[in-house]
Amino acid sequence: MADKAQIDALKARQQRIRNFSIIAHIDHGKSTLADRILEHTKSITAREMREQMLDSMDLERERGITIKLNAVEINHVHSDGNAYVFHLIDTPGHVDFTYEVSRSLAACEGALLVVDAAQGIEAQTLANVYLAIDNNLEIIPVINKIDLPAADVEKVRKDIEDVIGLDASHAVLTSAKEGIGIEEIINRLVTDIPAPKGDVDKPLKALIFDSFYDPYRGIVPSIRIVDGTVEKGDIIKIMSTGKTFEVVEVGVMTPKQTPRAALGPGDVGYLTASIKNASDVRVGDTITLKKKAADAPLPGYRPLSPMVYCGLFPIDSNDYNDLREALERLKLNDASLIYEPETSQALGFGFRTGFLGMLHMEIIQERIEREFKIDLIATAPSVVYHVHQTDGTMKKIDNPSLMPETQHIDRIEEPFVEATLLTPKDYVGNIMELCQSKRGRFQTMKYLGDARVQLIYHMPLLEIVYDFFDKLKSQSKGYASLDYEFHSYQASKLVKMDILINGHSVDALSTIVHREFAYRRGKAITEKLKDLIPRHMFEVPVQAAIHNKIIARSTIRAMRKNVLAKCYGGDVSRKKKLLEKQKEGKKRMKSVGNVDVPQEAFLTVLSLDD
Amino acid sequence: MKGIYVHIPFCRVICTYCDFIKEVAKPKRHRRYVEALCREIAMAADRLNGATTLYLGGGTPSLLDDDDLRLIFDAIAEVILPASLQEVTIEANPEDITEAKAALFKRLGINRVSLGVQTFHPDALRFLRRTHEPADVFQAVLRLQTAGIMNINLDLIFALPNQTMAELRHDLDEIVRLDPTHVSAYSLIVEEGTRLKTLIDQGEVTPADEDTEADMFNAVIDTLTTHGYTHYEISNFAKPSCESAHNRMYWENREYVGLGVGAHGHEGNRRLLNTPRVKDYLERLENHTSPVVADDPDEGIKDTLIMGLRLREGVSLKTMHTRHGVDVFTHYPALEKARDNGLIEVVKGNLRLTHKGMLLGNEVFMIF
Repeated sequence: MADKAQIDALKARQQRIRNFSIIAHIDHGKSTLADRILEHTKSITAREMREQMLDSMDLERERGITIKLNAVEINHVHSDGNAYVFHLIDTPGHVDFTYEVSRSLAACEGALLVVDAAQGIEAQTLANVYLAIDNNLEIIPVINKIDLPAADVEKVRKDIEDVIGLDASHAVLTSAKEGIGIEEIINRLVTDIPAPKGDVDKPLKALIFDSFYDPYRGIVPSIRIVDGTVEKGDIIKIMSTGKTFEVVEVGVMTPKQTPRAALGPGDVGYLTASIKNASDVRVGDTITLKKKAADAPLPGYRPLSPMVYCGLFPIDSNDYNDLREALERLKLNDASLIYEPETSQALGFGFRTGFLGMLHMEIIQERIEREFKIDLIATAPSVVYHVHQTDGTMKKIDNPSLMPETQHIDRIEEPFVEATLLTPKDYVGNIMELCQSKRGRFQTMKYLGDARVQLIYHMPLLEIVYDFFDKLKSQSKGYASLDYEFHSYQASKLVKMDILINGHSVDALSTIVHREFAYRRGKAITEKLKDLIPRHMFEVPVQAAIHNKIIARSTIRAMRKNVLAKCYGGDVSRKKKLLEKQKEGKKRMKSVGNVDVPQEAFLTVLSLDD
Repeated sequence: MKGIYVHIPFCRVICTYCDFIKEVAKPKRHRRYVEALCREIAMAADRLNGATTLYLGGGTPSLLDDDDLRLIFDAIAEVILPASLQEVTIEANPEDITEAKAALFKRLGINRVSLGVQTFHPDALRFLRRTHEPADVFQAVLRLQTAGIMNINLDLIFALPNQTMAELRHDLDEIVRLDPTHVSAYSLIVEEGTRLKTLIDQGEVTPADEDTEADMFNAVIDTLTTHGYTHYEISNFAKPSCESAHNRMYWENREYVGLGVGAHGHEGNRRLLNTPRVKDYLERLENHTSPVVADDPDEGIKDTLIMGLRLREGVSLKTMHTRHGVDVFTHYPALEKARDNGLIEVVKGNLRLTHKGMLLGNEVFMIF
């Protein structure tokens, strides 16, 4: 337990803590702004400065997006002579990561709402601002990129007032790139955002809002202290499980881990306590002290349920256990990731894995391949169908290959989402056409100002999962944005389409399609597979079938020539290496009923130009 | 039985598709190289003992002037009896064969010349950066025969980018008209690091597709076998008793000594490699140092099979047993599947590729 002097110090410190996050659409300049704030407050030296400091995963830097949230402590001496402590908790800007956003917002008292001066408000920003308003956060509007020739500050100001209903008269005008307006942001953080509430004398209540794995120190939870204090040597208790651990170290991210004597109310930091199991520190849980325990946990989070499922299979079946470990490790700070073992005739043992959306799925797959070095085959994504059977029961099916026989099906319902699309008015025609072609049902259209339009459609999630997002971008020259949330289950004329390779139905290639699209899609898939699967010693037919009726076919012709033309004494070893390379290529494929199928083939349905 | 391979790395122009060790150099450097080579020959005297074939390859050995060639043959005559060499081959560009050059070849004991013909289409020759005209080939063959060198190989390349079947037929007609004793016919291989590879990667050239290659290969086989050639190795065709004795040593996985820059050798159960850099080669020999930079054990069973199956007659199962102590089908169970797929067959105690297997050899070689 902290002593009297320490407690007084923590109390004084609490008054000067400002916890905030940044809400912005992808590309509106959030990470650059965060970098500037770090620079301006000299939180990092020029030597340490890397572009987009907060995005610490390689993948994040490459894709230019924020996936995992990061919390950084910033020290700032204000013009009033006091030293303030800022905690910047970064948030991801993509539709798939709403859950992460709600986590970081729950750890804050305020938020910077960053809007691109040239592009205005995007659909995703809207969703996140409403989340922040629901969390009672103080919101400071920031109009960024004012240096751009296309910037229209007044229009964006009006946008913020009309669309969100926030007073934008005091919006901070910035160019993060040029370093304009950064000082004003810092001043406003001090004056506008309230100090955290919370009582240092009450029993410890700390919210786990993230956690990461350190090979030497075990699982390290990121925490926000609400009440009480925690320091080295304390015995902490996880409120949901009752498990106890002795604290080895407490500290803050600056952005590197920096130990502190104690953490008090309003502090955002980490603790280490030799925690070995990921399941012991679930994100959203509350930490308290064993001796002086809080009576009730913090509200925590409601994990989102996955919307998209796919099968993940190791190419090398020996990697199965490694894959399980990788998923466990990733789930550590991604409660929305769920998985269970799955067996496929074609692909062997793997996991049926649920994701929040397509980007989430891609990121997880890439992280498994990169960070855990496991070569994967991913099957085409599926949504969760409600299959009402003739006997009156209902089955939830997230795997097309498990679809009951047609004669047992009364009707199939699929998830529809309410999709909110924001677009410059020039593209409304294109976008409406696209939505219609993806079975969208028009709801409303509203002008936001005189140049931008908000469209609301009810659409099957299945269609969004495929290539809707890419199509939307290409139909609107990249200007339209999309946000969606689950709406309802609705009956559709859906059928299961099987793919047969060399006469064998390949379970991992089965998909659910709308009856009207079946023929076209079947043709596109078989054609694409024909190009992706290499020639074999024999002719390989590729067929699409709907309950035993073949609706499309293509043929992979038999291999006719594969031989080294020249082989003399001079290059035996080199020629042998070439043969080894061919052999390796074959090993990377999955053998399905005598046919070697490359990884990409299992994702063909995703990239069809039908 | 043993072969000697001598590498001459010089060319007038670098061909579009070539990935051999070669350079464009001045005559002065030629001489310096020949002197180094002669020194290597002298140093290798013991190893050359028992050789029955000699093969000068490149590069372009015919580029060397008369004195350079004389120096090499003199050096060889210093260490082995010229009469013990039953087959002496030199690779030549058609435009290099003057009457005098042909006569010199004959005098030096060369009894087989391999001409880099490639194609008879002027545009295709230019694309490949060959420096001769189709007419040069006829001249060269006539001059060699006049000089008394009757054993002549013509190299042909098919499945060139945009080549039509009619164009290939014309090439084959010309070959048949010239009636050489031996033909090597290769489908164009795109090797890493060649100009051809760059052109293809940049999308400026489209390689022939698999069906075209197969159709052309079949046309080559049909035409040449109809005209009295035996298809005795995947890419090689010969009139009766005109098979290349030297190249056969490679395919039978026998011993050969490699001399010159980048040359490979197979001596005892070891595979040797000379330094692949001309400068390094020169410096090593000028310092009386061995040019060998790699000396690794061979892979007896695998090598014998991969090389041996290239030959029409294949590999004797009995020899595999006596030479390597293995029953091939037990050692490589996957061979059964290849047999089911019609790629291999056992004929008179020999394991060999079928006709289909000749076009799909890699599918078999990958088993080993």
